[in-house]
Amino acid sequence: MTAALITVLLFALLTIGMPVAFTLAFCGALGLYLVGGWEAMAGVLSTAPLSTASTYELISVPLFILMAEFVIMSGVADNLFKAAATWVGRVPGGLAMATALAGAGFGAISGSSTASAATLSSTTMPAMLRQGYEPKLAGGVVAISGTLAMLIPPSIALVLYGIIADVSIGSLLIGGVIPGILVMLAIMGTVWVLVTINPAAAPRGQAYSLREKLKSLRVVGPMLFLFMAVTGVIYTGIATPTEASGLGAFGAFLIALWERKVNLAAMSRALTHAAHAACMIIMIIVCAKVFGYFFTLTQSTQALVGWVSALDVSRWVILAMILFGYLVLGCLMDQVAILILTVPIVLPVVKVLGFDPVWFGVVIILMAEVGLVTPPIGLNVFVVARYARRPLAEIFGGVWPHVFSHLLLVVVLVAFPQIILWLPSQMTP
Amino acid sequence: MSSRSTASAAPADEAPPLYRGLRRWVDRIDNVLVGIGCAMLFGLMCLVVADVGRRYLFNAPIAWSYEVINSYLMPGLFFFVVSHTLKAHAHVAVDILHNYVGRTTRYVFEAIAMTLAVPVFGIATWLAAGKTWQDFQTAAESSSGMAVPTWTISIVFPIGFGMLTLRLALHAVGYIGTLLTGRRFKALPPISGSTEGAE
Repeated sequence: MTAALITVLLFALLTIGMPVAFTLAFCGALGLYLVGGWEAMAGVLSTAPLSTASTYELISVPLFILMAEFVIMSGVADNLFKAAATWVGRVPGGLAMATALAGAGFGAISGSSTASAATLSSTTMPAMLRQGYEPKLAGGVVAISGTLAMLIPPSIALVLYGIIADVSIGSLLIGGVIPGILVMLAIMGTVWVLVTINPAAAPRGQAYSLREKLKSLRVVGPMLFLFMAVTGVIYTGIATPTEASGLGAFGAFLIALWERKVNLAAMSRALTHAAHAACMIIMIIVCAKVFGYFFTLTQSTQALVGWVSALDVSRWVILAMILFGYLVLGCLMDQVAILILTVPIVLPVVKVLGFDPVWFGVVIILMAEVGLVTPPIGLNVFVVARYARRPLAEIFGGVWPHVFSHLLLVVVLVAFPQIILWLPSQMTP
Repeated sequence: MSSRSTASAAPADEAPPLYRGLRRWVDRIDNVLVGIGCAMLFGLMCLVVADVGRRYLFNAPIAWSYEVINSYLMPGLFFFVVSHTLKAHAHVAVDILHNYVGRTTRYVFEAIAMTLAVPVFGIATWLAAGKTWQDFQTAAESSSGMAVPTWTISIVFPIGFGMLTLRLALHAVGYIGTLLTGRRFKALPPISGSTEGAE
């Protein structure tokens, strides 16, 4: 009963806009006090923050974020869309496809879907509209391309899932590679279908010579090399994900030095942004720990696992319900918050049902990403509409085909788990 | 929903002098702490690279790196930046409802959120300060290889959460003060993804 009441309070406070971490801390502390008294609450509040912040595996969170900040500081990311457009701009719907490619690149850099959508809105949307693209098609592809952020390595969401679920972070990051590429291809394929049906929606762009194409690669090449190197050292077992995050951040710093973009103001900005983002994530983990102790005391997770195990329905029905839940949560909440709030409760159920935790991590992150663009709330659509100054209904209208193709892709990934699990199984132990 | 660091709120200039003075002091201390936190982040990167480099190139990893990262750099990075992160509106919140309610209602929501958070982090600070003081008095040493005084590790906890509690209290007073007097003690945070709704 206490667990149910505190959970209702938690959602009420989240709804009024109380920061996720503070909500978890308040509800967790109140719950601990109600269930275990002052001793229980004081015991957890006095120890959990320092012990959680001292977790060694967490260092990949600030370091991957720092890597992204240094890449942004170097300025090479600014040329991503231009380089992609040079290669595919001439094909039908080429600029929209270049947006998907740039989205994958920005995603790898920013690790935040919303930030990625905002950046793409201000860079790729005007270029498409100038070329005569239908605003609905352009807005839709920008909104969906922003969601690539959480699958393309190094994905902060997958690192977090690994920490919360106690699953190999290396396997998760490598497991996200093929689905990330498939999502990108799904966006490009959807654009191709839309342009085939209505060629006027996306006029052909300018053609470039091979020399110009190769020149464009020289600009973004170091960044692409860095991201492939980080993924490569994890895949080959040369470095652990925590080591790879440090090496990646240092590599990005060297790129910024090479590009002569390192100065005191830029360094201060990059470090402060990275420190804020890392602190925000660690704060949620710290406060979720407090809430987790309360939930453990009430034995709610065990009760839920027992209840689900006793259900006389197919495990696929339960999985479909869980995935639908993630789609709805994706409309409302940030992936970090979704993962920290739900994984400790849902994962034991998923394990009991016999599903692989690595596969599940990749699939739920993809579902939450689809939620980000699903009407009527999808946050990415709001962001694109605001940054591109286009009507909300227009962007929602353009994003529907992508939501449909993404859900089809989820069905494929659920039906064929090996698409996700094959690459991690080939990793050097 | 997302972190709300996309835009900074305009300064509140209708607050009483005492409030503004307190906020200025908290800002000054936070600026120093965030500088230390950023230095720790850069140091963390350098230490990880040096450790990996020495391990693979010379088969001689840095023996103390694990403990320094665990005991000092990661906690320091977190606790020294946590209050400044609140100032930058970078603590993630579900603020979709804020798009559909009026300014006064938003002030009520923010006042509730900050007021509820104050006692939780205040209690945590008080408990952590007590523990650190006890460690200092007993000259307790950490049980790991470096055998450093334990208080040098745990002191970041009361400092960081103490500053966070102060800032939360200032925010709460600012929102409540604005609601009660009609003078803008504290600007509303921007709504995520845009500067709309921000003041």
